[in-house]
Amino acid sequence: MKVLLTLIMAIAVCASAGWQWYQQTHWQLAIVAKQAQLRVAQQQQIQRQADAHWWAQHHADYQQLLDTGFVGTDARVSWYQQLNKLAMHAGVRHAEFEIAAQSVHQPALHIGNRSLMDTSVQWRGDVVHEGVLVELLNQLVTTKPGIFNVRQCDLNHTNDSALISVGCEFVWQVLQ
Amino acid sequence: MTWFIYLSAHSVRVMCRLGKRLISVAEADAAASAALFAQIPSTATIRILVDSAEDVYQTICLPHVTGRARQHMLARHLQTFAINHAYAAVSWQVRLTEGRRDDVYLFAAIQASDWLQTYLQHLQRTHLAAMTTVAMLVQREVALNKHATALWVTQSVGGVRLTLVARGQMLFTRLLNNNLVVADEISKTRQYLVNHQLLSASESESLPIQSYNEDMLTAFARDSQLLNFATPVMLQAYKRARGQQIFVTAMRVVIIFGLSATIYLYQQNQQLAAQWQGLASVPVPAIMPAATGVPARVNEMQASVALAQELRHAPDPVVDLAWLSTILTHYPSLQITHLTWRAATGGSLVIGGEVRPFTGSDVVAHTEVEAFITALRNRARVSAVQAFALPMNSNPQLVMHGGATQSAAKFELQVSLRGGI
Repeated sequence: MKVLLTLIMAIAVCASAGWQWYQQTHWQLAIVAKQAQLRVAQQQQIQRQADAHWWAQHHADYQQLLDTGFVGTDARVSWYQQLNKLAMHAGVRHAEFEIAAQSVHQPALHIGNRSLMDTSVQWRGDVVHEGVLVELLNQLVTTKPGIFNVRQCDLNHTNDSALISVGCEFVWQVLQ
Repeated sequence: MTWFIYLSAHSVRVMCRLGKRLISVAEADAAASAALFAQIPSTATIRILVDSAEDVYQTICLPHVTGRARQHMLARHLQTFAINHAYAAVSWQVRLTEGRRDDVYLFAAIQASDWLQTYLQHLQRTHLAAMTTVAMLVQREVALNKHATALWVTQSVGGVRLTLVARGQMLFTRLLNNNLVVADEISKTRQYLVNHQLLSASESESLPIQSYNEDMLTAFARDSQLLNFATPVMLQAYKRARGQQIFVTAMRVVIIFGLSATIYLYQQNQQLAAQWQGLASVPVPAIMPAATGVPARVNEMQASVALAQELRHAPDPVVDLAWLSTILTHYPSLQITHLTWRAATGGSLVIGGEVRPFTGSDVVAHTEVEAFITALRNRARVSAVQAFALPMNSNPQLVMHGGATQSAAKFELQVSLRGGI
C-alpha cells in the first residue's frame, strides 16, 4: 500500500511538473511569436520611412539614370554614330572600331528583373598627340544612353615623325 | 530498525539498533521465547546468531579455479557436505603457497534441530537478513585481530564454547554442557590435539588460552561480513522488503525533485504570463502604405543608383594621362614609345620608352630614368613601380642595354595604381 501510494504520488508530481513545463513552453512560444510580430512590423515601418526619405533625396538621381538610358536597352546604332562623329570631330585619323555582341556583365549582377549588360568596343585610330585621344574620351564619357568606360588603351609612338597609334577597348553598360 | 537475535537451545537474547545505538531488549529461556519474539514488529529486519552444539565445520583443499567453475565446484561439494543439514555455507579461507597452490575453503553447516526450527517458525513473519553461528563470529574476530594459534574460550548464555584457531583457520569448535568443568575440558582438548596430531605435545602444552570477553550480540551487530547460512527462500521476504524500501526511497527522491521542478516552473510561468499580458495589450502596428509618390520597388532603384555611381567612379585613363604628362614635362629627354593603360584591379600602366637624345653616358640616362621612377612613386595614385628594363642596372634579373653603337637607352616600367584615388 505504501509503495503504491508513493508511486501514485510520484506519478502525480511528475505529471504536474510536466504540465508546468508544457505551460512554460506554450508561454515562451507565444511571447517569442508576438515579439517577432512586433519586430517585423517595426522593421517594416522603419524601412518605409527610410524608403520615403531616400526617394525624397534621390528620386532625381534615378530619373537621371532613366534619362541617360542607363536603365534601358542596348543602343549600338547611337553609339556607332557617336563614335564616328566624335572621332572625326576630335581629329582622329584612320579610326575604325568593332562593336561586339552585348553580353551579361561578369560576374553577373542582377537588380530585380534587370541585369547589368556590357557592350564592348574595340577601337583603333591614329592621333597626332595624346590630347586628341583625351578629347575623344572626354566626349565619349558624356554620351548616352548607358554609362561609358574605358577598359584598356595602348598608345604606340615608335617614330617622332609618325602619328601615335592608339588601340582601346571601350564598354557601354546598361541595366536591361 | 535492525534486530539482532541470539539463539541457543536453552535461551534467547534480543537487541535492536536504533540509529547508531544498540539497545538490549530482553533475554528469555526457550519457553518464553515466543512471547519475546512477539514484541518484534513483523516488518523488522532480523539477523540471527545461532549457538549450537550440532554445527559442522570442515576445511577442504580444492583446486584453484575461478568464476563459474568455482561456483559449480563449491555447489557440488556443498551438496555432498550438507546432505544431512538444512543450512550450509562455504567461505574461502586462504590459498596455499606450496604444491598445487590449492584454495582452502571452510564448509560449515547448522543442524536443523527442533529448537532452531521452533524459533525460526516464530520469526517467520519478520524479514530475515542473515543467520550465522557463534563459531563463525569467533573466527572472524580472531582473523580481524590477527591472533595466531590459540584456544578460545567464549562464555554466553548458551554455555561455554571452546574454539581452536590455528594460523588464522578455525580447526574445531565445541559447545560445552553447563555441567562440565571448563578446566577439565581444556585439558582433554589438549590431549585430543596431540592424539589427532593437530599439534605436537610441546605445542599443545604451550597452547595459549584466550578468553573472549566481548558481548556476542554487540560483536555480531558490528560485523556484517559473516558467513550467511540463510537459504534463498528464507531471505526472500527480506529481499522483497529491501527492494520495496529502495523503490520507495527512489520515488521519494523523484517526488522531491518533481515538487521542486513544479514550484520553479510555476513561478516561471507566473512571470511569463505577466510578460504575455503586457505584450498582448501592445497592438501590432498596421503596415503603413507607401508614402505618396514612393514607388514600390525603391530598393531596386537604390541599388541601380548605387551601381551607376560605382561604374562612374571606375578608373579614368584621362586623369592618369594628365598627371603622367605633367611628370614627363620635367623629364624632356624621356621619350615614351609605347604606353598601355588598363582599368582592371584599380588601374595599371606599362610605360616603355628611351632616353633621347642619348649623350653616350649610360650613367646619365640611368639617373634620369631613376628620377622619373622616384617622381612616379611620389604620386598618391601610384602604389608600386617595377622596372622591367633600365638603361643600366646591376640587377641580374633585369635586361641591361649597352654597346658602342647604342643610340638610346631604353627603359620599361610597370606602374600599379591605387583604386579610389
